[in-house]
This record gives sequence, C-alpha cells and structure tokens, in this order.
Amino acid sequence: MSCVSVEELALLINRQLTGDRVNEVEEHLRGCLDCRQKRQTLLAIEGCLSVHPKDFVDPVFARDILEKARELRPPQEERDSWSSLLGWAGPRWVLWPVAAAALLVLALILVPGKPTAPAAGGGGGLPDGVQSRGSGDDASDAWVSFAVFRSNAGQNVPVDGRIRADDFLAFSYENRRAEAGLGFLMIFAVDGRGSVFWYYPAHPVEGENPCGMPIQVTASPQALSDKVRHPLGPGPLRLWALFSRTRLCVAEVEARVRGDLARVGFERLLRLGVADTAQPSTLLEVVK
Amino acid sequence: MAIGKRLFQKTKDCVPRGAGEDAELVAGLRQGSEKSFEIIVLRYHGVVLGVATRFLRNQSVARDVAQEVFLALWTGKERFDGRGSFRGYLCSMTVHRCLNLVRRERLHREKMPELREVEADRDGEAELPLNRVLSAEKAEMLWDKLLQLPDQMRETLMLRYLHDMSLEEVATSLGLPLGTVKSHLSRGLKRLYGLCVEEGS
Repeated sequence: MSCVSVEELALLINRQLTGDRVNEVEEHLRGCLDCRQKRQTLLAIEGCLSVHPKDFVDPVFARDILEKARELRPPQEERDSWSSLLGWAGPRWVLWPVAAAALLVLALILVPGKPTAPAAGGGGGLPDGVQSRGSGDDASDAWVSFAVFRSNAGQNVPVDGRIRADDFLAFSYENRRAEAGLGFLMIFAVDGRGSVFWYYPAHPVEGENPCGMPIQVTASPQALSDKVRHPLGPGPLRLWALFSRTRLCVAEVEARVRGDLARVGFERLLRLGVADTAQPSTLLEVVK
Repeated sequence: MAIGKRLFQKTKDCVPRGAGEDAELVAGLRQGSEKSFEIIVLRYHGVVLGVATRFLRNQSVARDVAQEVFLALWTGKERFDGRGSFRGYLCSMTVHRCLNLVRRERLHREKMPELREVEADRDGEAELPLNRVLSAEKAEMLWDKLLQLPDQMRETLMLRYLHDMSLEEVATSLGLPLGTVKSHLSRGLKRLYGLCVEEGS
C-alpha cells in the first residue's frame, strides 16, 4: 500500500474513516515512519487548536465584563436592564448567584456529551450525570476529562463547585484518544493549606506508595467505583486528574506537588511540573 | 435516577426568557440591548477566554483580551456583519486580537531584549510535549493561517476545535451536508499541515 494522504489521516484521527479502510491505514502506519510522523504533526495541530469552552467558564469573569460594560454605557430604560432580564425587582446583588447558576447550566447545555455518574452503590454504568471538567493548558488535555460527584445517601450528585467537608466523592473519566498514549490515572486534591489528599489510588496508611491505575481508552465516560472521603477543612480545594503515559506513583507525584506549591503557591498552581501528562483540574470550595 | 434530566429542567428555568438564537441576540445588541449582551457574555465568554488562553498561554493577559473582545462588541467598535456564524466571528475576533497583541509585544521585545526572559516563563508551557512539536512561533503562524482559510473551511475548523463540536454538530450549525464538512475539515487540516511542514523544513 502506498503512503496515506494527509486528508485521509485527518479523517482517521477524527474517526471519519470507515470499514476496511481503517484497518488498511492503521496497518500501513505500523510500518511507515513517514506516515506516523504526518499523523503526529496533525495531532499536534489539533492539540494546538483544541479548546474546551466549558473549561473556561468563569462566572466572576462574566460578571466583571458586565460591570465594565455598564460603566461604559449607562443602562437604557429600566425594562431592559440587567435586573429586569430576570424579572427581578429586588436588590441587584441577589441576581449574581442566579446568573452564576444560569451560566453553569448554560455551559452544560453548550458542551456536547454527558458523562456517566459512578454507581452510588459501587460499580459503573449508571445514570446520566453532569461533568465538572477541569482546566488545563496541556495540549493533550484536549482528549481527556474527568467528572466529580458527591456520593451521599446512596446517590451520586454532580458537584457544582462546592462540596461539604463530609461528602464522599466519586469520579468518572474520559480518555478519548488512543494515540495520546495516556494509560494511567491518578486523582488527588490539594487544599489551600497545602495538604494533599489521594482519591485514586486511595491509601489509608500514610507512607505507602501505591501507583496510578491503568485506564482504558474510552470515548464515553467511565465510572470509577470507589467513593472516598477525606477529613477536609473548609476553604478552596483543587482536584486534579493526572493522566500519564507511564505509571507514576504517589511519592513522586506528591514530592512534585509540594515542590510546585512551595515555588508558586496554591493560588497560582494550575499545572504540575510532571512531563508527558494531561492534567485537567477543577477548583472547588469545601464548606462545613 | 435521571440526574441529567432533572438538571435540564433546572436549566430551562434558569435560561432568561427570550434567550434566542444568535441572530436574535446580535440584532438586540445592535439596538443596545443589555439583555442580549448579557446572554452573549454568558453563552460565549468560555470560548473566547479559552481561545485567548490557548493562544497566549497566559491566563491574565487572555482575560484582558477576552474582556476587550466583549467590550468592543458592546460599544459598537466591532460589528458582526452577518456573514458566517456569530460563534465563528467571535473566535476570529479573538484570534485577531491575540495576533496583534503578540506582534506588538514582539516589536516591543526587539527593542527591549531584557524582556525576553519573561516569555520563557509562561506558566511552564515551554516544557509541554506537544509544544515541543509546535513551537510558540509555529503555533502563532498556525492561528494566523487559520484566519486566512476560505470562510466555510475556517468556520468548520473553528467550530470543530474551538467550540469542541462534533462534525455532525458543525454540519447542523453551518447548514452544510456532513460530507462537505468532512471535506472542509480534511482539506483545512492539510493546509495547516502544509504550513507546519513548509516552515519546519
């Protein structure tokens, strides 16, 4: 078979090739370095351009824009003001939480695909859930995501930016691109005081050094069965899903987290200095 | 238990009444409707911020650019002429502004070499694997090239990658047959690929 055209490779990586042709092209790729390099470049282009808008939804930022806009041009008639938008006649500050909620739910509508909630009683394959995607700049983050659920009283509820200190947390993940080679996953959290809490692999005995769990390539959300609770304190908590190509272990990741925390502090720590990983994360607030 | 379903109900309650399609919002914006502007901001600030962050690799500068994009819309400095989709227009506008910013910054840096160190410390981005494949300069050229693609091809790539849409959704959004969208996608990627290979050789 002769070399594969760039157009056809573009269709392959977008899963638009069908039938026997997929096998033929993949077989050719196994034996052709040139074509593998072409595919790699196309993946890099995709990675460079890929954005998950939901990862960047930020109610505070949206509010800032609206405030600035109001400063630039005074509101027109009252019937067309920000407040009357929601038919509200009371104090305006009350509207911001409503706007934030609307924004969150709008984002859920705009982003296609819904993850599966982990089973409340253990095991996967459960009802529809809502994803709490993290943010991340690594190009390979474009192909992975994770969702966080509160698991209380036998029910899994999608996390909406806030959890209670005594919530059990459950997770699901997506790992959509085989070519990215991300075969292992770890999930952990860091709080504003710099404490690290492990969810996957969870380990009750301090000093143990378990490693990341193998994961499958899956275009649909895969539920993780364990529900884990840590003695969290109130305040900010950033949850990371660390997708890696090699199997990392708790001690090395934790050492890196502590190093990065010391270097940039909790507020600015959005990415960990761990090479060849995808690192979606999400910021939550823990309340009592 | 249908968690998703229940939330969808909530969603319907939370979406402001009259929150219509983009064309309706753009018409409202032209008339100075705060209502339309608010819905546009709520609906699209994620994608604008996402594109700017992906491009500039610096969150605080990206926020400035994203804010500038929306305020330019609000003050009438920028107007959507109705060609193509409003989503695509917002992305183009954001990329244009990012390109201008980067070029201005480069000019500035050329005059002040000591500022070069600042660039090397962009959130540790320089160490990421795919950015070793596509350098910051090449990525910039890629975005630039994206803007120069023919309208439908550019829109297809933008909706697919910047709005994270499936090809079926892109086809629906642009009112094109799926086969045409696939063709735009593969040919568009080929052009961008050509740029990378050409510049790399």
